[in-house]
This record gives sequence, structure tokens and C-alpha cells, in this order.
Amino acid sequence: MIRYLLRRAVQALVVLVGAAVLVFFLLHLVPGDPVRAAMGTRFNPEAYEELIAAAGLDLPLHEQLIRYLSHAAVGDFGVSFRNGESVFDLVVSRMPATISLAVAALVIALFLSFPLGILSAMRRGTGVDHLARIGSQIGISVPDFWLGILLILLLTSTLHLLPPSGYVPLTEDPVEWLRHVIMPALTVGLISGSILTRFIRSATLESNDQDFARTARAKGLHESTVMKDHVLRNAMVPIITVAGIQLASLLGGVIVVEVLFAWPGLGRLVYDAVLARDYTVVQGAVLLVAAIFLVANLVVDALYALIDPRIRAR
Amino acid sequence: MTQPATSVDPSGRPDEAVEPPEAGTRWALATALFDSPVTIAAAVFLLVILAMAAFGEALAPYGANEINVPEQLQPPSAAHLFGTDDLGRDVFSRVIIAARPSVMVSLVSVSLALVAGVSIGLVAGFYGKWVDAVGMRSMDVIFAFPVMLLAMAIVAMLGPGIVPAMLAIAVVYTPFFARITRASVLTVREETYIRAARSIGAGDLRLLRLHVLPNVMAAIIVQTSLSLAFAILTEAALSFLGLGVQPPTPSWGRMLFDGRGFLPDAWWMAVFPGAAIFLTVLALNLVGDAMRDALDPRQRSAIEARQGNL
Repeated sequence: MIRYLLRRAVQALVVLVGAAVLVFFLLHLVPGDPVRAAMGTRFNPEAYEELIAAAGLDLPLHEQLIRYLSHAAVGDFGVSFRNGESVFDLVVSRMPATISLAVAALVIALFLSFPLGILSAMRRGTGVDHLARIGSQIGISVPDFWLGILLILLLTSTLHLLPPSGYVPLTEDPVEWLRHVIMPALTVGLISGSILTRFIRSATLESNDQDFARTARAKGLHESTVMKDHVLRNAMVPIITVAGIQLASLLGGVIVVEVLFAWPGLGRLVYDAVLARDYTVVQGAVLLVAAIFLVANLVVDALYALIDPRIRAR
Repeated sequence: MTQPATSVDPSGRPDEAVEPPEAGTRWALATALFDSPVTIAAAVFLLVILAMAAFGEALAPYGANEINVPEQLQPPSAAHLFGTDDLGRDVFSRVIIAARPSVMVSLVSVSLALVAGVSIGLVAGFYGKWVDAVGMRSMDVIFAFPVMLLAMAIVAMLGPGIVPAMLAIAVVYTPFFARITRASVLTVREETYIRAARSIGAGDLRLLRLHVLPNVMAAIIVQTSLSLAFAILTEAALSFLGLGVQPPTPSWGRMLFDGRGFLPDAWWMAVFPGAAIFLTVLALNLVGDAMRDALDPRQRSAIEARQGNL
């Protein structure tokens, strides 16, 4: 088990270094002078020279790469071209908003998909099943920003229940946080939930078709025991994988939804940096998100190694 | 990050396992494909979208940028089926004309991703060893980023516009094709017919082209139709963020963005372009799922393609 996880960790590390190299070269593809562009009208030659030197942009390319990687390894992603803030601090300051939205969305997705997916598998071919399948097909195809706009039209414009956008930290005012998080979380959660519903349905069906399920029924176990201890337990591995990947991608920031609902998370940070051509921030934030994504995937690997002993043996 | 290999068929229809049709019988394939009225409706809808993309200006009652300020922000009516926007432009006409950039971006970017991904997957799967390691690890690197984030970073570097959007989408979807192709190649590589061809002296290129590629086509076709759907979504999202198709060319995503500023009163400005995106993606997904059932029942469906795509 330890060896399995170690191997996965080493693989993830290799991928992460590759990601850092890719992100580094992306910055160097920028036509023109990014520092000058980011400074815009506030251009002054001294500050310009300082930024160039601080970012090491006067060094040869390979030295810059080594410099970037070694700094990134200790959490130093440089400073914003615009206001000199540390990129790492900027990303950390956006984490609470992104994490709280991701968790809220995942809760909605799980509450929606578990009952629906399992019910739809158990009552295969009935009305419930058809409804669940049509619903999840719609959820998989709907653009998140459109769903968000429809929710605003319904919950804000028509029913006047919720504020259309904005963010209040959970630690400041939990009630207001909840009122603001509901719509973005619903937008993301409904889509995530649709994806999960389909997976849970087919994983349950698959597991239900196996010999062990038939054996359990043949030896006279109660149907609920068969489902709980045999069918669902075996269906759990693929389900956890997919739920984990969902969470990982939510933690990377749901850019469009954060923009739509003025939610100051990671996605919003990258978007603002892109518009402002603040490339160190784009670079650092994108790389940190990739790191979060990889770590979350590793955690998922560890989780299902715990659940399924067969994986540990690999 | 490697997707864990599960044996789940998340098609949502394992109960309706359709036998793959005999090779070469196109009729059988067509019947298997279009056995459901829903699939037929979806295919017809896609033809309409294609017609809109090809002849948009001729079909639309008004020009895309025919500004008529006195008639601004009118609700849907007989004269303006989808109402008018803040400049008095006809939303119905703009939705029709905006089909072209969306269709073009998704066709071009998926074609690029297909050529690049299939080549990488073929070579990696066929040669194995270090070629495989290098090829697939670099695909893992691209996979390490959430789709939208990487697409946005690429567009940020190239500057906003339709061509950068195409390239960005092509890059993020290449690994999907590479992985699927590689997986299929691995399953056929040791087949007897490949060894037989090799034993009579067929070169690598001939083997790949005549024996390996045809056998991985089913998987690639299914992946293509599903990728088209998500390319439309990604393009719309990029345009929504102002990073894709640029005004004055109308695009569905951009129209939604503009419409957002006029909620709730001029709801039609945002609702109709969004519906166009949604229905196009839905139709592509339905056709894609039907293709998978007909061609390759064991393969993953739409959901795999939307992993990390929020």
C-alpha cells in the first residue's frame, strides 16, 4: 500500500515539474513585453528595471527556467507585475472563497446524485429511472453560465429570495455566506450532480450484475443487506474516484461561475490577472491550481486504496 | 493524472447493450445509430445548426449588426422572434449568424486535437517503451490542469481572439484523443493479424495505417462527437469571458455576457443564445452516445469528456 502510494506520488511529482516547465514557457510565448504591458500607463523606467531584475527576465532562458523552478519549489512564485504583491499570498487569500464554494457544490451534488443514481439503478427502466437519465443528460449538456443566469432570473428577479451575486466570508457572517453561496453552488452542484448520477447508476448496475451479488441473494440475504454490504460497497471505488476528480476540479476554481456571481475565488483571480495581463499571477495561480489538482487526485488514490484492498496489491 | 482504470460502463444504458454491427454493413450501422426518435431529432437539429453556420446571413431576417436604436430592448414579438438587444439588433438573427463561429471553432479545434492526439496515441501505443513514456507523460501534464484554466492561460498568452481560442481548445482536448487511441492500440497490438502482417514484411507505417488505425477508428469517432460538444461549451465559455470570438462578430457566449447586464428586464438577450448553446451541446451528446452504443458499446460516454470541465 505504502509502495503503491509512493509510486503515485512520484508520478504526480514528475507531472508537476512538467506542468511548471509548461507554465514557464507559456509566459515566454507572450508577444511583446509583458512587464511593460502590465505597468500600462503607470510606466516608469526605474520601476521597470527593478521588476525585470526581480523577475530575472534579464537572464538567459535556461537560467530563468532553473530559477523559476527552484523558487517555485519553495513556494515563491514571484510578485504581481501590477502591484508587487506576492503571488503565493494572493492565491492563498482566494482559497477560502473557492474551498467554501467547492464544498457547498459537492454537498449538493452528492445529495442529489446518491439517491437518484442508486434509485435509478434499482428501479431500472421505470419512470424514476427515465427521469433521472433525462435529468442527468440535461445537466451534462447545460452551460454553467447559462444555468447560473436562469437561476438568477428565477431566485432573484422573480422570487426575490437571494442576492444576485457577491461574497461574504463564512467566518464573518454564516447566514449571509449561505445566502450568497446557494446560487453559485447550485449552478455547479447541479452539473456535477448530473455527472455523478450517471456514474453512480452505472457503477451500481455493473456491481449488481456480478456473481457476488447473485450469491448473496441466493444465500437468502435480505435485499437491503445485499445492496449495502455487497453491491454498493463494490460500486464505491469508481464512485469515489469520480467524486474525487469532481472535487479536485472544483478546487481549481470554477472560473465562469465565479465571474458570473462575483465570487472572489481562484478562478476569478486568474480571470482578472488575464485581463490585466499580469502574467506572473496567471503563471503562479495556474501552477498552484495544477498542484492542488494533483494532490487531490493523490488523496483520492489513497482513499480508494483504503476502501478496496485489491488496489493495494497492484 | 492518469484516470484510474475502472470497468464501469457509465453509458447510462448498459441494459440496452447494442451488438456492434458487422464490419462493412453501413446499413446495419445506420439502423443501429438511428433506432431512437430522440437520436433522429438530435441529428436533424444538428443539420439545422450546420445550415445556420453555412448560410446564416441568408437565413436571418436581419443583419447581425443592423443597429436600430429606436427599437432597442424589445421583448419577443412577431417582428423580432427573440426580441432585440440594447442596440436594437435582432436577437433571433444574431443567434442564427453566431452559429458559424461556434461551429467553426469546435470543428477546427477538435480536428487539430484529433490529428495531434491520434498521432501521439498511435506512436506511443505502437512503439511502447520510452516513446510511450514521453508521449503519455506529456499528455498527463496537460491533463494536470482543469480544462478551462489551461484554455484561459493559453488564450491569455496569445491574446484574445478566434484563432487563439481554437488553438487553446485543441491543446486541452489532445490528451483525450491520445489516451483513447493508445488504449485501443494496446489492445490490438498483439493481435494475430498484426503479427501476420509483420511477418510478411509490412513496414511500421503500413501496419499503422492499414491495420492498427482502422481498428481504433470506432473509439476515435465516438470521442470526436463528444469532444465537439465540449468544444462548443469551452468556446462559449471563453467568448463569455471576452477571450474568444471578438465583436463585431456575434457569438453565443458573448451575447450571453452582454445580456447579463440587462437582467432581469431584457431576459431574452441572455436566455435565447444560452438555449442555442445548450441545445447544440445536448444534440451532440445524444448523437455521440448513440454512436457509442452503435459502434463501441464498451466505451465511456459524455461524462468522461466533461471531467474537470466545469
